[in-house]
Amino acid sequence: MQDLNTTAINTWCPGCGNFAIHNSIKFVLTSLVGEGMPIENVVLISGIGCHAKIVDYVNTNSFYSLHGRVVPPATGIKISRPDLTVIGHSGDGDAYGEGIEHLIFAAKRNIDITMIIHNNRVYGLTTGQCTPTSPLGFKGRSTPAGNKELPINPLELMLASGATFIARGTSRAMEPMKKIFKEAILHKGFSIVDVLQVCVTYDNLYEYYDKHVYEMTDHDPSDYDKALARMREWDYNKDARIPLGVFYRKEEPTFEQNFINAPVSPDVRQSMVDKFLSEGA
Amino acid sequence: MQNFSVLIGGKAGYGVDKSGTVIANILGRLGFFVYVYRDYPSLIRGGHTYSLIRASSEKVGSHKDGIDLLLALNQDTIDLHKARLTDKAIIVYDSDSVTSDTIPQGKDAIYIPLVKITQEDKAPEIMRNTCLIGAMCKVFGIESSLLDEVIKKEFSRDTELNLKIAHRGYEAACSARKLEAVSKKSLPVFTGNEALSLGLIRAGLKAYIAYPMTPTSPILHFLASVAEKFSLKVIHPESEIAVMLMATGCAYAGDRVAVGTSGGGFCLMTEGLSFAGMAELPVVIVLGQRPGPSTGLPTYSTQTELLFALSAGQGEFTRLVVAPGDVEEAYFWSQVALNISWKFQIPSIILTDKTLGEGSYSFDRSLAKDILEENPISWDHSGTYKRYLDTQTGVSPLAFPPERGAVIKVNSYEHDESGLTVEDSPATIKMQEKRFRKTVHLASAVDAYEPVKVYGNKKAKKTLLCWGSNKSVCIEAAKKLGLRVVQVAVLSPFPATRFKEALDGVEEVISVECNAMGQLARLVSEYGFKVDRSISKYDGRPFSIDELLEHINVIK
Amino acid sequence: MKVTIDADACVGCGLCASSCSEVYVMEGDKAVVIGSVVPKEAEQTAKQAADDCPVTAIVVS
Repeated sequence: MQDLNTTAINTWCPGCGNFAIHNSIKFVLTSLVGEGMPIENVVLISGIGCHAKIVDYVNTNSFYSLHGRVVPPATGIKISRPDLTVIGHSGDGDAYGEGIEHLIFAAKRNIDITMIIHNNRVYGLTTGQCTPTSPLGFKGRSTPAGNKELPINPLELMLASGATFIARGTSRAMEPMKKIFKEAILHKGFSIVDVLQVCVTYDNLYEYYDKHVYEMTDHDPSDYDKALARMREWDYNKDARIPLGVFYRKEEPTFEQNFINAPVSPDVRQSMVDKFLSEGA
Repeated sequence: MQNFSVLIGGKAGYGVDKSGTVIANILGRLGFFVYVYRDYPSLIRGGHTYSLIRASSEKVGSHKDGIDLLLALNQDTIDLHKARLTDKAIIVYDSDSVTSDTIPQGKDAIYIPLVKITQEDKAPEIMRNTCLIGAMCKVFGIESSLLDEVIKKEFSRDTELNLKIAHRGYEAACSARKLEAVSKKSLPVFTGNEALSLGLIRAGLKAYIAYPMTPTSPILHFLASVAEKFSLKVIHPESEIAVMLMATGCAYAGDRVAVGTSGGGFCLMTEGLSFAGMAELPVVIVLGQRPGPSTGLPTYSTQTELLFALSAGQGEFTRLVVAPGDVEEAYFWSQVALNISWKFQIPSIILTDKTLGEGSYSFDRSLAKDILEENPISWDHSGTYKRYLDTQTGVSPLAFPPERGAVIKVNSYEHDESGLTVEDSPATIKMQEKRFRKTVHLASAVDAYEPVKVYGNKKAKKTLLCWGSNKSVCIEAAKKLGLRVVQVAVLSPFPATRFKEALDGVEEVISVECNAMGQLARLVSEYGFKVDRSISKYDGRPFSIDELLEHINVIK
Repeated sequence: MKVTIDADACVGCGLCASSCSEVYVMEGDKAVVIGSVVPKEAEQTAKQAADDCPVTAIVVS
């Protein structure tokens, strides 16, 4: 298999949580290739933000999109080529702010793509503003007196929107995260993994997360109500224990299945168009 | 009668739109060239809506002011249009809805109790229009078998009932003006939207993505209705932003894709347009113009998006912008746009408007060309694949995932040949020049398709200058006045050489545009061409032939 | 004081190498420890780097 590293110089800050995500996704892809998935079937899509540089650093097919616009091209790619393994990387500002309408619709459609959210709860690349998952009172460049909005709970939002695989991890704990990534990618349907990833430069939450996260051990991810209850244990705002792992998993029909139909040859197409043109619409 | 107009009017919800199609088809079968102008306000029920069908022994694409046959489903139709009746006009009206003493004196008037008839036969009230059309056929001495043929074709639901009601109208009316067939050749009738859709299909369209917006929603509806037949992926997503970005994804994966919208939706697509230009992803955008600014007049027509289409999207990048002038050109240029987009890996914009898109025209197959579909350059599998390989033409060989041995990277940032992000000056210059180089080759390729056309008196010193749906009305006016007509079909890259040739011997240029600022006039002046006079119309309605002649004569 | 880096866990973020270059250095895309014992004067920064490691790949003993 080709070397998954590119020649691009890495410009993430030393200590950035993105490194862990980067390493994990390479590990998982290598593992999947070892199990028979052709590497040329993989497409990584990213938005704009520190997270998005990942496509410059991984030597696979990739689509470096616009801010907030990971889901639409991922959807288009999957609909056009349903045999591809489509993985989107998005930041929390990218996915839960600018691109939230698309995220909701991806879940609603249950399109078979995987979204990995590099959730550092800050806009890193634009130097430190708050995002939709920043806590109330967050003091950033655009909210120096403290953010006046409560954060949304993206897991709850995704559950309500119809997502069929919802998980959360942290860049601190790579082994469980690798496991979740692999499950998310293999899941047939819309998968979202919220990764609590730390931005060492603008909001270093390593200590905070170390104190609060825990791996769920006795959770049944097929139960909607139980999943919702677990998701609501932490609202991205107050101090609480932060459960990690797979919250919800279900098999449902996927959107791209609706577009698989036998192609029409150019000759047949030509003659059908000619028929229309001579008879009228 | 070789050149006449029929107007059918009523409230929205009376089936007036469909009636226009039915009447056009009936007259078309008699060998007439037909053109339908549809006027309707932005609502679902109520108000006043009409279809104006013009029939002629010659190709026609504009309406005239005078009405020769008025079909009134309600009182408003009489009140609003009686001033337009020609001397020998005939009125056929619903006597259950119209007060007879409002009918103008001295006109042949035939009344049919449409409500009574539909109630008697337990037909829904909307079928009053079928009854009225039946009456029209009797008035014109048209064979009832022709009426039946068209009813069967146009009404797949409740066919028998429609036939019955149509016949009741036929029986109730009387013959007033025998309409002779003008030729044996009967041409099918298409809207600009339908012709454009068929052109896209012909050129290998695989996916169509759109958010409903007047006047291009009919393209979405038509392609959705034939999606299975042509194995198309037709998607209506959450917003125009989703539309454009999904399309770039489809293009990346190798599917020929088009999107459709109007001005407001196009505004939302512009970031995606810039992206398509940077990432070199081919997407065809159908921009059906309607009056703004902002929501404006959603169901009317305009030509105000020309300069916008030419400059939309941040940054500078190569694009194709074309503006078909009639229904045959809609079929032709949509093929060209799709093919050229893929050949040069650029976004292209097809500018249409409500007049062309939703108007119906007789479609002359002999004038509607098919183009030779060219396969884009693909990777020859030698060496390392580079998505943005710099070449002599600026066009890089294509590969689509999954392509064994190729890493296919597209990028919205400035990038190197492999698709990795760069920010330095030499790399930026190299890539910008690669992308700009495409424009030169694009211009040559487009030249083969007749980007500028000349009509009328090709030696005349005075010329009308037009683009888009004004083509037909200008040709008709020019014919009457012995003028030349120059029509520009490709707006970007601007065909300056061909334009100059077209103006050979011209001493006065009069532009005819449906906008206030004279956008084509401005564009040609950028290339050093002078427009002497501008005729502008900006009330959302197309020029009638009478109106245009008056404007030109006033200028004289 | 001794420090060891779990090579599998190391993600190559360069934080330890940039904050305590006497003890840690980048070799390719992984960090490695220089020498076998941490110099006395570098003990504090070496421990800080271990604490700061985003994937807790550094063990202090």
